[in-house]
Amino acid sequence: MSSLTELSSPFIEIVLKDLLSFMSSPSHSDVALPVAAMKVMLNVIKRSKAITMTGLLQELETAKEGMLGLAASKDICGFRSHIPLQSGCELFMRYVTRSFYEMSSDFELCIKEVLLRGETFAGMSLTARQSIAEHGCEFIREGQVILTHGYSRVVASLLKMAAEKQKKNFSVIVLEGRPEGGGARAAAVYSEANIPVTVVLDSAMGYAMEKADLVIVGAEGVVENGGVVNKIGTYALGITAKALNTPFYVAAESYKFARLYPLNQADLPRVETGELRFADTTLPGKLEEIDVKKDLITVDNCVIDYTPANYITLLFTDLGVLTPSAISDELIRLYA
Amino acid sequence: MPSIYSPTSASLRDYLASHSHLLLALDTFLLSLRLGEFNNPSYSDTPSRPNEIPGSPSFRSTESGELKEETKEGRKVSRSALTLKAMELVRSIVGTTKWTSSGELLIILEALGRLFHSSYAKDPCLSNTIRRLMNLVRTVEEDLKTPQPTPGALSVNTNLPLTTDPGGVPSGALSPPNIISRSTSTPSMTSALISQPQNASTDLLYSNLERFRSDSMAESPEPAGVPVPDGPLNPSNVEGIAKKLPPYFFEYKAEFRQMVMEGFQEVIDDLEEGRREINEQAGLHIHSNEIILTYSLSRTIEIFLLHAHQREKRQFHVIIAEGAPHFGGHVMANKLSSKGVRVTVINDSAITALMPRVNLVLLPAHAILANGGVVAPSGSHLCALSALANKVPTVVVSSLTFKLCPMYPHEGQDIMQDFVSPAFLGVGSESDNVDLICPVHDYIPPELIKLFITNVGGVLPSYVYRLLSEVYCVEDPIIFK
Repeated sequence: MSSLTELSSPFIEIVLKDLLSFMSSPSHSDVALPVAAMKVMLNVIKRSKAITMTGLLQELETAKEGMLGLAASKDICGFRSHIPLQSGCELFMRYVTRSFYEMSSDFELCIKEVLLRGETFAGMSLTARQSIAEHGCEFIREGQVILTHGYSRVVASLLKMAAEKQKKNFSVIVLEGRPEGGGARAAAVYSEANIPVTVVLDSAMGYAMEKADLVIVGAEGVVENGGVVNKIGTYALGITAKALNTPFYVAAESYKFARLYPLNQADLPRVETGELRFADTTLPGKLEEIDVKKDLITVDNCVIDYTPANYITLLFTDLGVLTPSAISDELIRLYA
Repeated sequence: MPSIYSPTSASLRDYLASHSHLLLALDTFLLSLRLGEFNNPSYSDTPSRPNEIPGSPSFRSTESGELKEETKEGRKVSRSALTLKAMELVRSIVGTTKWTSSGELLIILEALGRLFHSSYAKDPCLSNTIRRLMNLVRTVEEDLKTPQPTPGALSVNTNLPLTTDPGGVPSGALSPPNIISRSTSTPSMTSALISQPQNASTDLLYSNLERFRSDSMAESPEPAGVPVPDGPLNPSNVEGIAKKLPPYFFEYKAEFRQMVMEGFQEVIDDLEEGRREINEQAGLHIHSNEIILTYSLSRTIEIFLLHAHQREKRQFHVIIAEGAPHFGGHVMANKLSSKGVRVTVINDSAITALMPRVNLVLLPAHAILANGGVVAPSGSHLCALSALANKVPTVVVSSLTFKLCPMYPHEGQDIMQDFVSPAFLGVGSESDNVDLICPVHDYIPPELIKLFITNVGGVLPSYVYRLLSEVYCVEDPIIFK
């Protein structure tokens, strides 16, 4: 908890404790990071003694900075970027100010309303995922082979809906999804839904692509030009899909739309992760881990990458099916 | 008069029971749809093959070919004329019957859409226009709702969800007041933030309705002027679209009917005048001494070229690919050459050979899909690919009024593929081992299209989604099933 001592203010301490408790609660597996961030912000409002909108927004801003600081210094997101955390916070603040304007600038009333409606945020992830699944599963047809990368809750609910509700027969190829290997979990989830699954190495994406009829991936963040930030390997997957003319679909909740405009991979926020296990398996006997502390070896364990919009066919969102160019419209509508 | 409460054909018929002439007009129209009188002219206007090769069985000699020949006379109606006819029917139904609210009107339109679709499923033009009318009804409803805030409604109901105040919050600074009332119980904050009614999610409206049914009716003081719909009109008794409508759609508003009818007239005017606006751009795109390649038969392209030739005095040369096996290109060549345009007809396999000389490829559209892709006569994909390989721009000339479809390729349906009798193919084999198929359409992906010339001006494929959100509402059913 070294980061907590750096941000010593007791206000931030409570915020972070709040966030961590949301993240570790048993229901966390169904609640996305931005939603957790919104809940934290709701609690900030509940505790707040501010009497003006400016005062309240300052508190929210501090809470946001605190959460982002924690996410940047420590892996609380589980090998994920904190872009959704940021987009969730910004969306929430936008929501508060907008409610304020609409309530004829009555501060008390606005807070009351925000808190009242805030209760429904808990179900937000699930509802959004449900709606994405409904839009997206129309694109899956009988007998297709679908390639996906690692584990994504949105993609899982989409495929499950196609298999269980629509009774479509299709099979899935899952990339292993190193470093955390979400593909194993995905395979378990899909096989439970009676979908035939094949698991392949990440490096087999080119090999697997020619068998695939379409690619569906999730996203951690959707940026302004319609590109997505997602688990490492998504960019390569997009390029491979484009090369073989395979449709490349992204399923993402609209609260992941972020006001970012990355131009290249280096523009992405760094995510602090553990060291990569880098082993030589060709040696006989015991797995010899190469000593990564050697001066001349740098291990860059990046966990996210940025896929530009031109590799994406369509995005399935809870606002409907969107082309990448429609993303900026939605963002402008949200924040203008 | 019976009220309409569900978008089924039976309830529509009940509703129209006292208007026997409307019912008759509707049935006559549906019958002519079913009889195929309006089949797509791009393949039904087929001329007989100019020189039949003796000995090879031509399409006349098979049974289905004869059927086609027999009904051919009735098929000269173009799709825009068909759509116009349908819309005039819709206007007379809507204009003379006694619906009272936008909700009812939407139910009527949905029922009509379903009827048209069941009689003419393979063509999206009627469903698209009905959808456009439904969006129009919604827009008028929202427009009427906005400028009439109920003063004090807010203070009465602070503890209750604001949904129940039809007047809503007084007009705020940022956006229409209905945002708040719509977003009351929404789990999606994004939709709460988004001001366009198009984007409010269905769950959200549905939950509004739930609330409307459960607590607000019992507890909240009913604001004056809101009749509680009852009987068949109660939203809880209806099916289909009305389930998703917020309660204020079932209020009576005096000026609503007139505004809607004016809107309908605008849509009909659009249908009538779409080509004029397209033709006005002819001079911008067609220059003298150019060689223009087009594929098969299209009335829109024909008059577009004629406009450039006759009005703009451009001297150009048109290469027409014949469009086998329907040979629409032959008709097109006759029509253009009789008006003095220089025309060369080529067989389809010669497209790639001639493409290096071509300056511009003009293609017709059967439907324009949400991603900017196009459903066009089969064989035109080849044209577009060959154009790309030779860096010749491919331009699609089409009116958007009824061809713009809200679905993406591969969404639910395929690409509206349709197969007609392969008797045209005239293969001389009697063997059972030969399969003959004759698909009518091609899907051209948006990457191959440089520009759309439409009745709203030049449009890039990447801009099509934007036009969609202007003319259609996401909550209306995508495909009338």
